Amino acid sequence: MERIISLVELWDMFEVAILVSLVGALIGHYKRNACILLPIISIDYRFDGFKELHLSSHGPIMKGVLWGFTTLKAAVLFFLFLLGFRFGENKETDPILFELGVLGDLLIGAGAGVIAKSTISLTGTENPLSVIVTSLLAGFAGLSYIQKFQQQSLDNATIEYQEKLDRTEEYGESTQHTSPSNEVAATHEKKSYKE
Amino acid sequence: MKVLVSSKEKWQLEQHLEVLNNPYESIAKRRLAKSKFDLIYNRAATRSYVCTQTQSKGKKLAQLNEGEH
Repeated sequence: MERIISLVELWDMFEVAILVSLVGALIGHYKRNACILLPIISIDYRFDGFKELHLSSHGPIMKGVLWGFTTLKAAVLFFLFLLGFRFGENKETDPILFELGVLGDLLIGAGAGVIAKSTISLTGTENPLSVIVTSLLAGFAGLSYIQKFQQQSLDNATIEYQEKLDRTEEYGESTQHTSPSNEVAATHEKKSYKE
Repeated sequence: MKVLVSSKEKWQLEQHLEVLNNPYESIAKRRLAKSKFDLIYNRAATRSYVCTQTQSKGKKLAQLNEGEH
């Protein structure tokens, strides 16, 4: 048996299997979503500096200088926010959420391709067509299998989450459905169902 | 234990649950909604727990004060 000592050698060995399996995974992803879903990054960053500046009564030159400083401050604070430093209005905001989308499915596809190729090698088959067909099927079926589990898990979670929502009790506070990013996202999502 | 939420949080939770309940929505969006629901709910639950603890401590102190008098 060949020894694999580097990633390049690993790639050389599984190249065809991984590539074909990725096609299978891509077909599976497209079948499920009817489109290619790019990764989603959710960042709940808040910065009130521009609002304060808008309300201020400075002259045009002073306002221009302040705009420059505020933009710089916003950029620096955003960078710190990305690094995990939370203070001020961002002290209790959500962590950064990253949903892989199609990348996650391709990752599953690559894994399935490696498994398919390894299994074929173990049986002693050298025919390249069998590698191609098996990898394609493995990529598609592996993804469908995992998606089925994810779907079931989410369907089961709905009951639990409904119970959680029922356990909540509202306390008096005025409603402001304006600024936070997740509210905007939720509104967009709601609109997309109606369409 | 009841979890105390503001009307804004309640609205957000309902929105996220609606996404989670929709079987025709993509898995990615449903999972994202689930994560956001968890974040809001857990934050409110922690706050409610602290609030309940503080209230019970206050009651105990009041009872002790009454006992001394």
